[in-house]
Amino acid sequence: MSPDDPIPPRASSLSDMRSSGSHATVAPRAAEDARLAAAMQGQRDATESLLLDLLPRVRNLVRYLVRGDSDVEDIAQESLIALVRGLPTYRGDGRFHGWVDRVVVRTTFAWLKRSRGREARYSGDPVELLAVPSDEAPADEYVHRRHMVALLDRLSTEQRHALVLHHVLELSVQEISTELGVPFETVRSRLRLGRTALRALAADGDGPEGGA
Amino acid sequence: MSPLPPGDGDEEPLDDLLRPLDEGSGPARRLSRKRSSALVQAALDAALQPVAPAPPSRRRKRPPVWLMAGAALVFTGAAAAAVWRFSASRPATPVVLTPHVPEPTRIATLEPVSLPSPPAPFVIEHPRPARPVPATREQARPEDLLRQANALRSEGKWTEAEGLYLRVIRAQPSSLAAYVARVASGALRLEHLGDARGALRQFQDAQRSQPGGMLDPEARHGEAEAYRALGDTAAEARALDAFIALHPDSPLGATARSRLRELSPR
Repeated sequence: MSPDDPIPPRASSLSDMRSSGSHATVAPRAAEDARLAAAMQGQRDATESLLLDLLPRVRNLVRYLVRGDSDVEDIAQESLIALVRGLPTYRGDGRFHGWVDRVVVRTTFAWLKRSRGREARYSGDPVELLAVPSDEAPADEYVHRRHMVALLDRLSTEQRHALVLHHVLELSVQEISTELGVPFETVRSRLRLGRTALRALAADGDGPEGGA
Repeated sequence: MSPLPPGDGDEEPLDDLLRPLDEGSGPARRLSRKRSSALVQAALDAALQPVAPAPPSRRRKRPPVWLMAGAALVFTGAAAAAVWRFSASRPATPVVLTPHVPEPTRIATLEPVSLPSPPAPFVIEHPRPARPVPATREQARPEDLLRQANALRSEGKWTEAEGLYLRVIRAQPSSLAAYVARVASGALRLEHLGDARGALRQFQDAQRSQPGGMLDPEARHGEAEAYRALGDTAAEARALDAFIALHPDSPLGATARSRLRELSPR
């Protein structure tokens, strides 16, 4: 995967991409397939429904990959546009969520490349962990994730991306090596160092808010 | 939850810290249904619009040879006639000759030579069509301009991005794109262009154009920040009050409350 290639990948190149166990959280398979087929044919209602379901996943993945919250909506929106435009190229022979994740990763990397240097603006504000309403998900899970991503914000971009691709998207080291175009051992090294750093940060309670 | 991908010799678990991606809440900030819907709608609008035609090539399509030849002939003839006419019709300036002899001075005036009457004037029609470039630029869709502006902003080209945001606002002042452009322009002016007053105007215009819109937290917080930059602490406190009342769960709420406490008289 070229980081600056915003063109959605074809499904054939994605068949080996792992997906999380999130399929159980979406609609039953038949209904899902019908909606997906309608969206691929360009039906707006179906596409809208599909995007609304995908949006949390898209935003979460973007946030895992970028520092701070300020650019998440911009990148998520670009990713949705890329998904809609790329839907006709999805042939259904790979896992849909894997394809979606790949499009989002590509869009995010392309955005990061374009905006190189802007990350210095990130101020690491601790903000909203002070009070979390629990309307949709357990607050502790939300807080945990916010805490973890705040710790990720303190790692290097290379270590961060290796950790996210490996532990969040469940790509193998070989896959990450291929996708990022870096040597296998380099990926392993980034993972090792990233894990050590993340564990140290978590153990120290050295998150911005001092622990969730 | 599945364990790590097998077979790469790097299977140290990290599930206690990082878990596989799902549709649950976090780590992205919570987003209201209204804003989620607006975000999806905006993406759909942008994605489903017909792709804009490619920008015109720099190399224009040439007109037919016969037209070019005719145009060249007409142009050459017209140019020749114009030169001839100009030189022929210029009124002769009286020339004063001063003789060398100290005789009484005589002024010789050369009379203009009569010339044949000039030919009828040519009407020269420009063989090329009017330049289409400015029109095309003005007709660019606001969504495209917005995308270009965002790209420029991402590259740190603040002034150019600001110019495009203003074009979006001028093109369709009441559109969603213009609303987004107003907020973006306000942020640019405040953060990068040193124009707090202009930023304030943009944030307030955005609130007026779409009351309670999807970027209302950003617009209201931006308004407070603009007042702060202008040194108007009373207005800043009022704006922060309104912001906190309307968006109590905003991630910016903590900093807003903190700032408000600073501003409150002890």
